Amino acid sequence: MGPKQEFAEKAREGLVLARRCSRCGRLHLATAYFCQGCGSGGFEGAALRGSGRVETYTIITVPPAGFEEHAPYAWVVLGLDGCDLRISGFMAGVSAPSDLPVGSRARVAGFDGRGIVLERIPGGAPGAGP
Amino acid sequence: MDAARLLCAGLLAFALRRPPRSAAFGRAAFAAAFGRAAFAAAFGRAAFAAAFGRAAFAAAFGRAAFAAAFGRAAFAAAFGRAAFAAAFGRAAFAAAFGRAAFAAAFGRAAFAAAFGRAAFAAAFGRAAFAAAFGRAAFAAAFGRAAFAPRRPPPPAAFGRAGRRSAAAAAATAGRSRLIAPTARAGLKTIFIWNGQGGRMEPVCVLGAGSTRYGKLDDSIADITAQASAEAIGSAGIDPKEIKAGYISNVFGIADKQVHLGPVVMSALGIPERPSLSIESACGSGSVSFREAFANVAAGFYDVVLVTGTEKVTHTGTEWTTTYFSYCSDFFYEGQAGASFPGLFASMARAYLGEFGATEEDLAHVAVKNHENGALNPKAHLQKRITVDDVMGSAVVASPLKLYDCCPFSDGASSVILCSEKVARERGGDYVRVIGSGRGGSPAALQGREHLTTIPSTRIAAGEAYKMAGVGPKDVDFAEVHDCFTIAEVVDSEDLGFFEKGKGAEAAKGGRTARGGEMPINPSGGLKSKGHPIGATGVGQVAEVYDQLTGGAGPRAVPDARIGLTQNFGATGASCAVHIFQSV
Repeated sequence: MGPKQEFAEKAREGLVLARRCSRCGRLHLATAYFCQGCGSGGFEGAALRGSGRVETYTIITVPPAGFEEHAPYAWVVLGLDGCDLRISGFMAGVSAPSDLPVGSRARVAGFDGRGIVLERIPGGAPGAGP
Repeated sequence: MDAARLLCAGLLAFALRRPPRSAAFGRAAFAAAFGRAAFAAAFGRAAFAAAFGRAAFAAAFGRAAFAAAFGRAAFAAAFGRAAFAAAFGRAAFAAAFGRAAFAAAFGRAAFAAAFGRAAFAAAFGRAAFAAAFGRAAFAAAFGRAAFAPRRPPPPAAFGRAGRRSAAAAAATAGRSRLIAPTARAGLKTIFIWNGQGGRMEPVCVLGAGSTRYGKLDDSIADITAQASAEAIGSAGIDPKEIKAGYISNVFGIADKQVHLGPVVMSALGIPERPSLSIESACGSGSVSFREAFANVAAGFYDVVLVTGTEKVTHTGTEWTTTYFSYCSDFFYEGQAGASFPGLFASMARAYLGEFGATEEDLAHVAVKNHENGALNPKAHLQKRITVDDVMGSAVVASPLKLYDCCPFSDGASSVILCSEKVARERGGDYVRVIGSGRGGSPAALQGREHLTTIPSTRIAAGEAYKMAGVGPKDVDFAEVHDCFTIAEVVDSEDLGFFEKGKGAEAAKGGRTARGGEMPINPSGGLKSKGHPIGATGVGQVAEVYDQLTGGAGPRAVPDARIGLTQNFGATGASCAVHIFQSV
């Protein structure tokens, strides 16, 4: 199973599969093959909680093929809790900026034909801690 | 055991007394039996090196012995120039490899300290001198007559006249650095420094051509050949003079034609000439141009064709959107429904939040580019628009609206690149390429340190400025990658024209208009001229050629001498920047 498949499996459990460089400790998403900091190819696995804060997003009203029935939907960049990694993905149920203020709390909710699927954490107001 | 030891000792004594010269008792057997140290003692170090190689020599006797035995040149080849400098000092380094290599290795500051400021000015030009030591030192060194203020903002009363003198000074300073003294003395050898300590042939744009951008009926093979033929005519060359072709394209498959290189070369009557088909998403054209530049600079070819081309509009908006999404880091972006408008919209939301700019500020970029494009007979959207038009247009990917986005276009653009020797022989118009830079960024937006900066642009611009010996303030106009309004704003900051966070305000204030202090996209840009993605980077060069040779008609930037192009692929995952100077 390749790293992208493993990543997808973990995403279905709400986790983000990461790898920590065994030489310098830098954290990467599991799809990396060498450390961006020190060039080492040695990693230790790390499954992160897939929750974080919305850093930016868009609401797509002119979708690519396969997403017609979902539009409007959001594509969201999430800053993960407790580290400097981000993850991005699809989010349903967002049709106006008021539906998703920047800073809202959200999490990885799955992986399917829409790629990495994210969802808002109910009651997660912008600015609230993890 | 005792008998064996005795035998070895006896053999050793025998060998040391009378080293065997024949195969009867070979040296290899000797070394195997008694070790390499005994070998060296018996036959000398020269024989040691011959038998085991120089690397083993250095390991056994040290680098000082190595240099003594084989000379300093061999030392540098074996251990690198850094080790050379450490071992013998920087003065020896300069004597061995020249001052250009010295500057590349230790920096220009060390260069000035070692050889003095006069040598610095001779090597890097007066513009670099002023940048390094300040205006006062410049005036002291070259007199006040040579002093011209670095670019604007000029007093309104003087308009662009102030700019002209600054640009002219920069151009002159740049030229004096670019052409080595031998060339000025009339010798045949001319070269430029590539910013990495190496020498290159100066490269020129000898001619340019483009189809109209928009919805075209002809096949991709036809439009590619049409633009190429126009460039050949503009350059005034015979197609047979072209030594190689560089053909950039992304979605030829949509018009049932990939491997476009040989198809185009065949149409031009030169099927025997080699060609390279290049894909780097929306940056394909500039990446292709860079490869062509490098090959001419290296002396592989003296005349080459660079043509970019795209034909996608017949597939319709949904499928073009879908194809383009394949240029993203698909696992994280396209697969999750991110379109390109969506990716740049995400950058826009981050920018507006971080710097307090507004959607109206972005709209000014579109209005300005349409103003320019309305004067360009080859532009896709030749019409003026207002801020209200932009704000009232349909949302494509919030916060971007239809008029924040460039159109999907068909089109092809082409230029002829040649060595300066060829360009001079022709006696016609040409433009010199004085800087070339490339860079990369994390493919996915989520991997960028900042969501409002494109690292590849900064890296490419840094390289190009360094090679050209000019800075952002020396540039008279730029053709930048404005696939969306937010992109032009970010580009104008990453290229150093404006401070971070000030690009939107600059656009709103008219500073990037054709008559402003830093004209951006006089062609209309991707936004109005159009964006046939494989052609765009070459089309930018065609615009610079027109501007710097007096062929831009009503959209000319007055008194322009130095032009810059910046074109990137996807969300800036790859980028190339080039700087041009009129001759």
